[in-house]
Amino acid sequence: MLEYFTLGIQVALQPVNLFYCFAGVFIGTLIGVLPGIGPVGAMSLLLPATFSVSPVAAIIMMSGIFYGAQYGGSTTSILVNIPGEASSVITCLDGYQMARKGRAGPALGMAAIGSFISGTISIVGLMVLAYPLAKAALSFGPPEYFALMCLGLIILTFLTQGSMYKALMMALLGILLGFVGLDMFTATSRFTFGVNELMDGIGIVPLMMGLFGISEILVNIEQPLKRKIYETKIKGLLPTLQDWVVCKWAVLRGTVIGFFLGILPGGGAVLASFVSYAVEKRVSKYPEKFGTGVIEGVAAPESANNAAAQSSFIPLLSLGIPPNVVMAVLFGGLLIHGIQPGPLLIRSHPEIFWGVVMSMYIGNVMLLALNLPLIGMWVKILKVPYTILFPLILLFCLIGVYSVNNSVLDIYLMILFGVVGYLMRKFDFEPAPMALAYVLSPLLETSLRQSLNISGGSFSIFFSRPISLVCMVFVIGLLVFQITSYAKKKRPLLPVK
Amino acid sequence: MDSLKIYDIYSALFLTALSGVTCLLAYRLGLGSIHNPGAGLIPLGVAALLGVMSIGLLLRGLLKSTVGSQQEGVFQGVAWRGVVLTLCGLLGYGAVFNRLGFRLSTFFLMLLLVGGVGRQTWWSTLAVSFFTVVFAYLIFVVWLRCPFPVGPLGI
Repeated sequence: MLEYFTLGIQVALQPVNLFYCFAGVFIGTLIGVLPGIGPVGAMSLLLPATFSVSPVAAIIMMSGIFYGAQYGGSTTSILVNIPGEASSVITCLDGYQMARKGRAGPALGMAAIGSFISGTISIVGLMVLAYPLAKAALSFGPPEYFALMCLGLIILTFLTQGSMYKALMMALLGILLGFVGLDMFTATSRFTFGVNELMDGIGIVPLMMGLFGISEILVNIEQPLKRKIYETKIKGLLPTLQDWVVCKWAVLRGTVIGFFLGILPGGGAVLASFVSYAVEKRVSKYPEKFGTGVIEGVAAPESANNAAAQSSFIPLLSLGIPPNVVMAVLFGGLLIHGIQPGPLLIRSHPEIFWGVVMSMYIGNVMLLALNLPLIGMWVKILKVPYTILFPLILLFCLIGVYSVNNSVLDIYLMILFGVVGYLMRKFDFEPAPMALAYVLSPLLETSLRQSLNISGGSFSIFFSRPISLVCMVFVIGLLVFQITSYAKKKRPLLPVK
Repeated sequence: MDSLKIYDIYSALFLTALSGVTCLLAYRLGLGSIHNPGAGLIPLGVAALLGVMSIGLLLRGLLKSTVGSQQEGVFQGVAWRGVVLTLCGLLGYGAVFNRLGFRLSTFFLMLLLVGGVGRQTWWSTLAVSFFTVVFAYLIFVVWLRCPFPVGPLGI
């Protein structure tokens, strides 16, 4: 273990990797600050830019964008009352109220320091859990993988903000989109309509950038954002001793909740921030004050979303299963760089796993420096009019998507998925299940077909092996629970919208 | 399930049609057997399941829909001019990119988006468009060496 630890530090401290780590967390903070583009869009956009660098540098940068966005997202929530990221929505409630009371500094400081503490603890958890999990996953066969992926998709649809029924439909649509291209078993081209560029399937970059980037911009420009930055001098970024006394347990509870919800398929930073806020309100001695500028209302969700951002790497790096859409983009990035995420990754590419993990420590320190002393710079960026910002974002999406394959078809596909994503938002269909299902589709199909081959066409194989049996029981249980809840006209679990 | 809306019917109709076409195409690919699935078997199963769920959504919408003003609510207050101009700009960019080249098409796109959609003054539109082209050129062509098409007269 110690030798891997040393290897990781050596890799992370290489100048080129330090540079990409800094670039990642800087861009992550920037897109976290700017409403209109999230980590999924930014990571998809920058994926082509990583083709010329080593896989480890590419993954370090992409990871940095993700966890950097969690830091940056809180800035807009606190100062503008507009969340930069979905995971910072709940921070608006108390963060903005603190700013109105002249306590923007402590709110920003607590968000950054709480994020640093939770992120660091979560990385330790990642190191401890990922290795044994990957070892155990070596004994997994196709039925276990199929059952695990089904469970991941069902949990994701179960935890969506809207209707689970519609989320399931979107997951099925995502699986269908994943079938486009060459069938790996029979070498038959499927649903390509004679277009050679579709033989490799629909690219992950146009799909993600369309669904999450273009559609977001279309939603924003249909009713222009009117931002009111709370005009106050931000001073006293370090929280007081009293703030620390009040927040220490909130940070720790947020870390634990975020860590475990991050591992959960379909969970991730958004759910973690909502749950930790709800828990904090419940255990508080003054729950009625939440929403009026209570610092625990900032500390808990900000700690939770960072812990979740780091722990969501565990299923990706140890099992090869992305638990959420951001990890799905990272999964695509690893594949493009010729790295197969999964249980063998830690053994066959220890420099990638340990290098990325160690870079997270360094990235967290960089983020602390970026978010506290440089807060004034981010506030100035917030003042750039959206009428100038959105054309730039669109242009970068267009150039980014073209440069993957030098194909104009990818531009059209991105626009198509942008319109689809826009309509989906309008009609209350969630894009996340579709995107995750699309990424998992080839793995799902392969493991299902292999399982059926092994079992001679019997589906009982999924119920005769312990791990797949447990997963399938959960899948069926969740579906039955949802149906019975519908029969009683009651939504079982509906996160706050 | 969530509240009933009239536009669920439109979504359901579209998805039912899509699943129907996919089932047909998947069937033509060859189904094989359960023991040894062909290229079309699993797509057929997934499309059929989507079709069944879409019909469920359609029936729910038809039986219980409160046809009213909800449909208007979704698109109420939408500034269509900006949305349509932006989409036209994006499609146009794709159409002329190989002919006009990276620099010219980027310049015209920025003129449309900053001036037409963003409604900035002509001077700021021209300035933003020009500097964006220079900035994008330096990043993507000079630094990242992306092989973008060159337009007429080598511009």
